[in-house]
Amino acid sequence: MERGYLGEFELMILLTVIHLGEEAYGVPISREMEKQRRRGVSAGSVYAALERLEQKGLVKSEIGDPTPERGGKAKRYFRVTKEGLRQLHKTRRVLTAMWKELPEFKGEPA
Amino acid sequence: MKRENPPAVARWILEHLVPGKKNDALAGDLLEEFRCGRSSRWYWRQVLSAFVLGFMQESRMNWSVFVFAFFWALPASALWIAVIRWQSGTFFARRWDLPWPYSMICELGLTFGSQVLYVWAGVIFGFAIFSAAKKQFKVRYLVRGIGISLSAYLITFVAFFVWRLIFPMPFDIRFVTPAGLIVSLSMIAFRMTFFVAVVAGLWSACVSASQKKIRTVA
Repeated sequence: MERGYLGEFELMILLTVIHLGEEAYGVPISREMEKQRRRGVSAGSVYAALERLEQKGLVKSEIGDPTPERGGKAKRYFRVTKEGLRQLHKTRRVLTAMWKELPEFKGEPA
Repeated sequence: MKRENPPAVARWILEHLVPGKKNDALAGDLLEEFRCGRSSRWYWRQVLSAFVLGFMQESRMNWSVFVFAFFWALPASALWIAVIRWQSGTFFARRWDLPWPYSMICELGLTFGSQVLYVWAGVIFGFAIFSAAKKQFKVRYLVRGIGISLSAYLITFVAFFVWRLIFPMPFDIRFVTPAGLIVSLSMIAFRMTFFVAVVAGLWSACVSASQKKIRTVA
């Protein structure tokens, strides 16, 4: 069955996970999202989106070792799957094609 | 001075009440951020947001539990009235003539006991259906569901008791009409106690049973 296109938040999360590589767990993902969006991000919403993406088979998660600085809680690392990459490229192709169809913007924000 | 630990109540809510399998990792992430200088207010906001989002997500994934509990709770008020009408010709009708504590035991056995049995029947029946659909039956999850449904029912039973003190039933329960059964606020509140208890029990039994295990990195 053909999947739907990625939502804005899901798209940003997938790109962030790829950008962070081996270090893609909750804290850096949330920080990077905050930096890019220039506003606060709830860790719960990041995990909720990651759960959805995992159910769709677009990301995979693995649990690391527990660490004392996290109160003995382990980190959960995320990785984009081949299907996730395929979806990203597809979404980019569609968005790029749609942008190209638009007339030139006037007064575009810097 | 930088605080080492976040608010204990918020932490407990996060670790015990937020639904989903991500709680440990999320709890660790929030603790790591808190120890890097985030405020208690920020921590509380994150926990409450995780609670609401987690609950909404689990509800979307397990809507069938709500549907089952709704239909199980629907005839509860009619059954209760049937029990009240039935007991009028039996030993239970004279329970208040008995010495204490036998009078109280009879009262609890009739009202609370029969209602708890109905809740448990719902949890067992629902668990059997969902387990058959998922081809996975584990007795320990069922036992947990029964225990949780009892706790939830105790809480809602007290809440309903308080409700009835504030809003007494505007009719004699023995002579209520079918229309009164459906639209009466008291009867809706009464059904809610069953709905909440069956949802809590089934959620605990079925949702826990179906949660996937996450692979652990060696």
